[in-house]
Amino acid sequence: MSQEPIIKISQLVKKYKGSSVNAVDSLDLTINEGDIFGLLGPNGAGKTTTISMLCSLMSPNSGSIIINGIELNGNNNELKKIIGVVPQEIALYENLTAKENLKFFGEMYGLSGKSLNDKIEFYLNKFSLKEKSDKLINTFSGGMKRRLNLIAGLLHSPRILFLDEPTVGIDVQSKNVIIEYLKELNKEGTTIVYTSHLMEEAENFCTNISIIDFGKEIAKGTPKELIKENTDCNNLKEIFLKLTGRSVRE
Amino acid sequence: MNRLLASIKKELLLLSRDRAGLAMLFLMPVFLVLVMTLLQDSTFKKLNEKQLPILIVNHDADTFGINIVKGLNSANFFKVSEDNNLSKKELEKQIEKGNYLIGIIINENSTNLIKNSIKQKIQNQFPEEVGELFEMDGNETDQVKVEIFFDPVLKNSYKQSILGALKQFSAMVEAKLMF
Repeated sequence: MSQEPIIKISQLVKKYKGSSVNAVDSLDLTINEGDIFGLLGPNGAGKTTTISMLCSLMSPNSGSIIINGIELNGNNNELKKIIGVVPQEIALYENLTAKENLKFFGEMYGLSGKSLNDKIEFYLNKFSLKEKSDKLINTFSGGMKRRLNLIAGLLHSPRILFLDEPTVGIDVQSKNVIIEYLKELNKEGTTIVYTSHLMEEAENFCTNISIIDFGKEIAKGTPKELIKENTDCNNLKEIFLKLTGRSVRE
Repeated sequence: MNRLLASIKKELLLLSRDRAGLAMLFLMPVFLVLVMTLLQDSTFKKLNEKQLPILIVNHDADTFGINIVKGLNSANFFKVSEDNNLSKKELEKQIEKGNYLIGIIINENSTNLIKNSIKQKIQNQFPEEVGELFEMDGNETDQVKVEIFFDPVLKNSYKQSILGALKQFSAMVEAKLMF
């Protein structure tokens, strides 16, 4: 797999209006093509803000983001075609069926006709949602919504996939289906940028990890490297607690 | 274009399934029209059932005075009482006491004043005619013909409609006298 950086973040700063501190504070990150990159941190560390800026949903106060050799600015239509976003909140229409939702999101990505229908059928089968494809979303369980939320971000076969806590609040089976498919996607060449609070999941899933806190990077490397560097810790969870502290965050 | 059509299709689907939204969109205006109609209807009903008491002092026993009293009686909107012996002060007292909401004094000689006014208008239209076309009955043409007293509780809209009605009667009488 290529080790060329596909995403390069330099001195990224984001400060929300009315806030006295930076949500993201001079952050530097390099994500290589083909990585499963875990952006980890406690609540309020700046993970979602960073992902939002990477997806052009939010603009930074300063710093630069280069994706696939193109610097993010106001007009990023070409970049939007190669990135897929799976937000933390379920971004589906409750009063549409699973199929109608996917058709709408597919058409928004510029897909149509048979190719779109085939992709919808494929993913509904893959994520065990075929039988419920004509049911309204408001009848779905949390796990089913999460799986469908993921499909909506995959329809246009993005080269880079941003996942903001994709497995939060779902059962083990749904979590397993999602993680296994993401691994499969990564093997096919998709770069995955993923945020999570689940350290065990991140340790097994990610090829590279960056732990951030108060908007700054405090550790980086592969899970094995991090464990090797912190000889007093047995796993990623212990490293995380050691670096970010045990006090409860807001 | 494809995206726009997709968005329109999605919005129509969402709207068709949103019963509360549809109700707000179509049933609320119907409900509002119904309520407004009933309210207006009840206002008119009240107005028609509860006639406004009017006291008239008619000092003009000629066409104008007779037609005003006749017109107000036929409007079915007022309960007309006539007492031609009352003075202006006595009428004001009756209004103050709340026995009547409106008081009208039709001054003596009002019909003649209207006639003179008509003659004056015609004379002004043909100023080059030799001498006077008409012989005037007296010199006054612009004195107040009718005095009206309202109870302060009376709504402005009622006052306006009464003034309008009186102007209409006055114009009718003028037209009658002219032809």
